[in-house]
Amino acid sequence: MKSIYTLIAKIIYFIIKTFKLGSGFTWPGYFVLKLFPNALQDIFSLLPSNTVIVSGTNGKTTTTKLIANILTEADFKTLSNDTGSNLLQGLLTSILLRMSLPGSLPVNCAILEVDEAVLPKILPHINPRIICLLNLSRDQLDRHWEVDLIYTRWLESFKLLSSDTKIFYSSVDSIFADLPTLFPTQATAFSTADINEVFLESSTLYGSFNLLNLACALKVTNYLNIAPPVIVRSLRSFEPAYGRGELINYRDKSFRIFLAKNPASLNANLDMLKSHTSLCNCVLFILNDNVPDGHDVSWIFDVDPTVLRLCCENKQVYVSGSRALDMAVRLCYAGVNVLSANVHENLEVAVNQIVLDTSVSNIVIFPNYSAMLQVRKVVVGRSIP
Amino acid sequence: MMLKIAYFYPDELNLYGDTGNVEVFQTRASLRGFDTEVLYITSTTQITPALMSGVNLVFMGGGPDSGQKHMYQDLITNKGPFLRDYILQGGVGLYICGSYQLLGNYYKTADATVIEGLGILDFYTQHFGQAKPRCVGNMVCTISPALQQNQLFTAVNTLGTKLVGFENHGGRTYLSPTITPLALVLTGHGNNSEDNTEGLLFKNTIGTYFHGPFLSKNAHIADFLIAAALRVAKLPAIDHTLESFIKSAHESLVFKYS
Repeated sequence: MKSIYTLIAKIIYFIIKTFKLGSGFTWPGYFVLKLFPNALQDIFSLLPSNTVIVSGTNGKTTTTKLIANILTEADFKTLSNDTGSNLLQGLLTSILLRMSLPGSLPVNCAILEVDEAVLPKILPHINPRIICLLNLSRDQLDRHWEVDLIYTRWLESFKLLSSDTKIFYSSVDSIFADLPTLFPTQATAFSTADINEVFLESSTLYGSFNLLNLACALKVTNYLNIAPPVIVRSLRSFEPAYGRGELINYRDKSFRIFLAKNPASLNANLDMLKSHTSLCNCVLFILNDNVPDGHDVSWIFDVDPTVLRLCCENKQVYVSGSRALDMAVRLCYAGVNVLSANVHENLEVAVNQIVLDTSVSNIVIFPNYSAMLQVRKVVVGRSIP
Repeated sequence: MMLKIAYFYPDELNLYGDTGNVEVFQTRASLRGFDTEVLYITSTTQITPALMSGVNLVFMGGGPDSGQKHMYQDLITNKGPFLRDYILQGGVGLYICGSYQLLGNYYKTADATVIEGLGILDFYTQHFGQAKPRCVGNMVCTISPALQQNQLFTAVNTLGTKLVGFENHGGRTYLSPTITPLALVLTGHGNNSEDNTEGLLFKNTIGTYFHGPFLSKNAHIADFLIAAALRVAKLPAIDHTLESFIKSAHESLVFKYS
């Protein structure tokens, strides 16, 4: 059966690529699951004993990439869902496309980022060696409703884990405070205080929020006994994951994209910009309300107005996206100087105007999720790597 | 003249940008040259006449279940008497989602537990569990005739007769016939998805299911509350790009979602 799954998945993937049917990365997993409802168990059972799962609201993609890069540097054959497809079908696709035609999975470690709502649904089928919990905060409330509800579901699903599975959690997020009591032999905290000076100096990542992602990655790689020189080598050559601090040169200007999809990630990014104010002389905010973003954009008011104003001081500010006007209103209330001529719902129009604006050279872009994919399409030519 | 805002439970009742409403009050008042002050009332704050003196605007947001459990007892025991007098005497205030529900007689949960409300205004809320879907989505309403004909509202209204925003609630609220709704639903659920009403208007109290930064998109309601709080008959116009963005945002959302 496994060879049939992988054959179907590869054919569908080939068709999508050949006919350029959008990004379509989740389709192979979707169709295999539709045709064979039992495939879920079969496919997940192929995962190696070194399986690491990364979940939380923010930092999943960067942390997953950090761990995967270090393990690859340490000569592991690594599987990772590095396109950020972290829902069920995307996870299945990542595995299916790596399977050989006879139906085996030729890897000896897997690092998978998993959406916070999907985590409790897949844990009954997977026996990971490590689960990393980064944080849990408000995101897409119209889909998830309440943070506490997600956490309750997590705890239920953790009870199914084998006693060997380790749970590494951030000591910063107080929602995880009861984990060591509930899972005393499995749960251990990580914090930025654990980061060895050598690793800290080797890291090229912007933003204090990335320190916690680094701390998590180091916790995992230390547990797996990776030699420090290997880690240093990997950290020095690390390139940010797509849309997470990624630097792009486009038509003689430099654009740096920082995904800002919920209050915690926008606040963290603004803090980063406040302490690296020379990073840019122009800020482009892009706010959409498509399905992957959540239809509710209320959260833009959960951002400290003073920080917002300080970040935009002495910079050209542009606003785009399907909810550009909401964002313009929000910025004005914070005291940011927004010119009517710099607000365009149409993203290509906004980017074109920035390209022609002789007063700007370095642009920081804060897009929410679907906006990040769209702006990459404009300045890189494709939405995902 | 001073706009003195008492912001109740800013830690527990700020689910999704509710704080933005306080920012809107402050900015719209100060752009017109009024002084503003925000008094943060937490679950440990002792309400005394001295503390509350000069308060002319009350704001309370909505919270997650955990947040509401945390402040509920304090609200009923310690803050309730003040709010009762304040609201019944015509004190100006905005109460969103969870705090709106608590002004009523009770909240009946899906498992039929009855949680007592403050009982200041005659209405109740019921959660039907799986039997009825959660009310989530963009909502557009027409402001109720009572408010449209209000002299003060007419004097400060620069946006017209519609309200627009987002709702996300499991409880459904049923007003007694003596209570005026804030608005009538065009698209969305409003109070209960049955009788077409949304929110309530009682003297200078507004309760609503428009959650988060409701006033950011509905500056006419913000200005009505500011003018009522300051006891002025009209407000000077705000000369700022903000106003044109608000007008465009309001109109485009009303168009998009109705």
